[in-house]
Amino acid sequence: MRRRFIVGFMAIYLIVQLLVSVAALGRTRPARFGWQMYSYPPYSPSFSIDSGGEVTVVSYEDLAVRARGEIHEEVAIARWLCETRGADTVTATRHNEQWIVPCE
Amino acid sequence: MRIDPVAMTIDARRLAATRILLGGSAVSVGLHAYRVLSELRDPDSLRLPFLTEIDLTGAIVVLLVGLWLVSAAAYTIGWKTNVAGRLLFGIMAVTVAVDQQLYSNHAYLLWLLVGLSTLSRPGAAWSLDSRTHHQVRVPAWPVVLMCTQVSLVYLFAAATKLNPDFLSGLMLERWLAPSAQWAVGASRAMSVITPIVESFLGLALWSPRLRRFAILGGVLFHLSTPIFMVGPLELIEFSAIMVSTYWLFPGLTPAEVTAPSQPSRPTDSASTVPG
Repeated sequence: MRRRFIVGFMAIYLIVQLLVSVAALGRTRPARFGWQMYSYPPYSPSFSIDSGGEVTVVSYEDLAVRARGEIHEEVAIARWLCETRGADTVTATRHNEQWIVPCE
Repeated sequence: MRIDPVAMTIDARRLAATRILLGGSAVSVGLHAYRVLSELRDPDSLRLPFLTEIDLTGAIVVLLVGLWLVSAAAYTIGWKTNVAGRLLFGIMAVTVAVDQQLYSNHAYLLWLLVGLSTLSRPGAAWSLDSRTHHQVRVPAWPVVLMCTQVSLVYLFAAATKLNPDFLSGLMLERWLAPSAQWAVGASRAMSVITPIVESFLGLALWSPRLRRFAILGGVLFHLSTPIFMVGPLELIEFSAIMVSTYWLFPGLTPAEVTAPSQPSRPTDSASTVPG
């Protein structure tokens, strides 16, 4: 019984680790749990904060306590900027992608 | 010869040496976590929770990091080792779950290796526990998983670098430390060599014939990354974690398997390690 449990645990562990890492290959890089260290460009989205026509641009590094590349939360960060900066619109830009978040 | 992975054992001192390096790394990573958590307490800080946002009071930060550091220290010195290791495993998971900014690849790897080690007897040698309850050999099946995990890290790290952007040298150039800008001209060569080295390490550590070259190459590789790349402290931690498993590989392949567990050497009383 114990032996079967151990063999089963080993098999499941290895399969899960393989599947998680393989799945990470297909996600936006860098992806968590994918061991993708240094294989991607330094993550540096920027955020244009539009307040009454006045536009301020801030970088992810300026905002984050610890700017991890695995975090792909441009919309969430834009919404946080809406709340904290009193903006009308926040536009997040990362590489070739852009998200325009109107502030309510 | 039929190999029974469940019956395999390994010299307890080798796992103990790994435990000490992993524990030391866990203390260092825990101190980083304290710095990040302290900054996250600022109400003006950007919070990116995995699930729901937790109100980070001073008491919660002290509790999380305190438990982390105490369990890491106990695990390192081998006091109630398995309990300490499992507590460390749990508290690391809870702490990192507080905010996405606490995640790092080497903390994740450390978490996996600490957890796996506690499935064996990491405190059976070179520990406070072993002063009264020493064991010569300990179960090897968790060690097989630890070594396989390390191999997967190398192999997938190599696989993700097999793209034109990385192989052109541009990625590595952007990650070079300011003090290593003199190496910019060699970025392309380094970009091609790096996945080759990582692939070699992922496989050769299992080969009795190639292992010495893999160990030498791996040590040189991990000594060089903190020198050349940004984030040297985290790279030192990562290097320590990876290299701490190198001496676990010998004896795990079918060609090297020794006889099943030899009798333990009790000192005062029981032969099993507490905790």
